[in-house]
Amino acid sequence: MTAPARRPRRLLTSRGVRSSLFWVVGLGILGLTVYYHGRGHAPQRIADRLQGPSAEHWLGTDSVGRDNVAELLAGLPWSIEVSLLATAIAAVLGTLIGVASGWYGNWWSRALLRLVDFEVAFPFVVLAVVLIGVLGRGQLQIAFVLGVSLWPLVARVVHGETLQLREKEYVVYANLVWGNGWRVIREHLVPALMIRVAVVSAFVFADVLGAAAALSLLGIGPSLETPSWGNMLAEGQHYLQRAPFIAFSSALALIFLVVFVNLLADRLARAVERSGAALAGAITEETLVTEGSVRS
Amino acid sequence: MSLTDTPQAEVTHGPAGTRATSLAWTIVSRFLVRAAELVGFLVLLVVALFLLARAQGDPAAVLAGPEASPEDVEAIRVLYGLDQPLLIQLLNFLRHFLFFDFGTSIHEKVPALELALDRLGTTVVLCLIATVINVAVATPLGLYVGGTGGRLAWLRKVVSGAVLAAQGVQYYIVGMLLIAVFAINLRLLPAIGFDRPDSWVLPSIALAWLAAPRLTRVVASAASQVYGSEIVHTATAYGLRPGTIRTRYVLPNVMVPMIATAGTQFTLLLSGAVIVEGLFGINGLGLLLVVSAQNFDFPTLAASVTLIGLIVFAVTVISDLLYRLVDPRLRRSGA
Repeated sequence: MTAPARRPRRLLTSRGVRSSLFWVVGLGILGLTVYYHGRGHAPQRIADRLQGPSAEHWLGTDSVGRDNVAELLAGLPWSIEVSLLATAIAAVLGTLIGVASGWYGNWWSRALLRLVDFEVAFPFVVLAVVLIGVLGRGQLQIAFVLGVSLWPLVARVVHGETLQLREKEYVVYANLVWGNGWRVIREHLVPALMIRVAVVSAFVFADVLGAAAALSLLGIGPSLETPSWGNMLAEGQHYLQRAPFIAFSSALALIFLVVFVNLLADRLARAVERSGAALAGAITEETLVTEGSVRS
Repeated sequence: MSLTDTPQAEVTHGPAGTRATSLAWTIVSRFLVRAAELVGFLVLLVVALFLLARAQGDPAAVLAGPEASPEDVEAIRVLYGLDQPLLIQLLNFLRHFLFFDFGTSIHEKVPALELALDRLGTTVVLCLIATVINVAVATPLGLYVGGTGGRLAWLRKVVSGAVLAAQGVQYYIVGMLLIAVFAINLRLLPAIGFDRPDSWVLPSIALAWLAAPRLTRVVASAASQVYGSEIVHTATAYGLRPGTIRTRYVLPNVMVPMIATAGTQFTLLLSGAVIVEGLFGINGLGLLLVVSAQNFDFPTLAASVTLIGLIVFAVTVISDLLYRLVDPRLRRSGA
């Protein structure tokens, strides 16, 4: 029998996963390169403001004469950092609580699960808006708020998986031999769960990318000194008539990134299902949406 | 014959009676569990908000305004009971909260609940119209994508791919596109507000975009399961027309996952409504939430969040009942 930890490597060689991973990782590296190149907005040239596409400015310029291509590159690191951070928070929180509620079947873990149930049912943008109003609009705060709003998606999947794993022979025996639940969780449960957490996290990552940009549209995203795709989109909204290319370029960039992250997640989920590492059935976006309501 | 028939009839009647009571019991107990979840979640959320808001700033200073003298701030602190220990304040607040008394809006100076109730209708109407569009688009599309046969096999693949692509396009980007095309360039429909029926069109379509591709995929996967089942094979063997098979056998079987998903998606729509309201300048609950979050208007926040929780609760209960109504099997088993 293959150790659960080996499986991810085999998954990465599947063709569908690899091609979408190429784009996502490529953009991530691009973002980090820009990050080390120096942060902040692209240079302004006020004389060139609100231009259409030309040989000099491929996607035109914005309201203070920044090149849209350069501005997209400048905004990439913020979006990627926030999404990574928020996804990490959601994954860690979701795994902890999902494992706790699945492994210990006592009253407080059931109460915890009820909380998850209702938070899944509660509109997460409402939660995020309220929390950002209270906490502030910094990068850390936004990442924290989005992570806290989306962790139940991870917790649900982890909970279901833990319930199945708990009955597996190697887990039962390990528990008998060691008599130490914490060690079994650490050495057997969590490694076996990682791949599923990775799949859900990919979906969460895409959600965060979209939600972070939406916050800018509401005027509660990062401050305007911070270059981000959401801020660009929000600016483009005011110039839809005079300079549609501001909105057009940022919208297209956002769609491109989100679609590829979603494709990656979808293919990863299918590959996991094929490899037999998934116990509780495949995760698709549909299961993430429907599992909240159809409880037997 | 008649002698043996009678006891049999009674035997089948007996369990039916207990089934009916167990169904009622399931519904009531689910209702109670949901209600307990709602109250627990709201209390937790509101207490967290309360503590976070207090950690962020001094409400007395906010109430008094920027030009107030220290004495005025102190007077307001005493007037609103803000000089008492935090725990007492919290308990006082919770006591009022449980009776739907959220206090006066700090920003608008009217009862917070009134303010939120005023905006509630707009948001619910927006979400309901979007749900109607969602179901009206996703059902036929999903049945088509999930079907088999037909002359144009490639078309089905194209539509299925288009649905997948549509899912990746954010609804607010669709909203901006709709504004650019129909409001700015063609000047057909208003881009702002929600007061006239023609101003309902663009925001509802944008919002429905959030849910329709996913619902289409749920309907399609349910439909393809039904199309592969023996029911449909038998019906086809009997020579029923594809249209008849679709409406009489496939559609009813697709209804349960569809209603369940559309019900859950109502929450998604409430999420999206916040952003769509911002985009189209609609004075709904979402915009109220954004504005009062920025103003630290704690009573209004608590009132709006509670109302949204109640909507979610109502929708869950209604969709729970609805798919029992649609599927007799669920009614009998009491699942």
